[in-house]
Amino acid sequence: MADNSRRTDKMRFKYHSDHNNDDEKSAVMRPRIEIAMRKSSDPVNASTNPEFRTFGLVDSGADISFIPRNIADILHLELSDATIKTTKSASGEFDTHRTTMHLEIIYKKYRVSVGTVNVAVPQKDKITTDLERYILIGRDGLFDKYKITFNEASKTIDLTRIARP
Amino acid sequence: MSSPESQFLVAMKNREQYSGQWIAILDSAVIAQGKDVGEVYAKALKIAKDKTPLFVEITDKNKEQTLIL
Repeated sequence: MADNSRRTDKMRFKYHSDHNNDDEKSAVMRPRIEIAMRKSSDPVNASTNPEFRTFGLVDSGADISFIPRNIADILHLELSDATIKTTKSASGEFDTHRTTMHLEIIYKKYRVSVGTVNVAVPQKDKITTDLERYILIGRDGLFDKYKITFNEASKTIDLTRIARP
Repeated sequence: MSSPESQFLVAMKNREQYSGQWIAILDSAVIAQGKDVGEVYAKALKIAKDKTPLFVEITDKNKEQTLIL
């Protein structure tokens, strides 16, 4: 996949459901977009810089991104005890490591580099709160590069690249 | 590479089968599945070689909930 800035200056994603529900009408649609994460912007290397491609929930209320511990382990992110901070959420407080990762958005057949973003990773291996299951794309590193519009009526999310000065 | 939408539809087509599991999708086919994402990732990479599969967690319908993060 090649980067193509003109075709990715404006990206529209449809909300979609992330759960297993037989009743489509009751399915909760959410602003999730396809992303690829790795430790650094260097080329993918299964041993030193593996990549994980999945959907992330765009969360305007999150200061930084958030990924589960088991995915951080897959990516070989450095999780130092010196970086542990308390993270507050609606469901309470818990300790997280703060680190960075390289983030790309996958839009149609294009890869769009967001760059290095700050990310919080739960300190403990075992998931103790449901929040720790989620992949959240927070404002840091993304919302300063794109004007992001949630259209709940049409169940779409638009990302428009902010012109570089 | 198939579009994300078509790949996601693959995941949802047999969702009952994958309920509560992580699945790896490549070229519109599920190539690995399981509850441990690390194990699914390792298995998928052996099959995918140089390609990058899409990993999706299919939440159990009984655990559907409203998110307030």
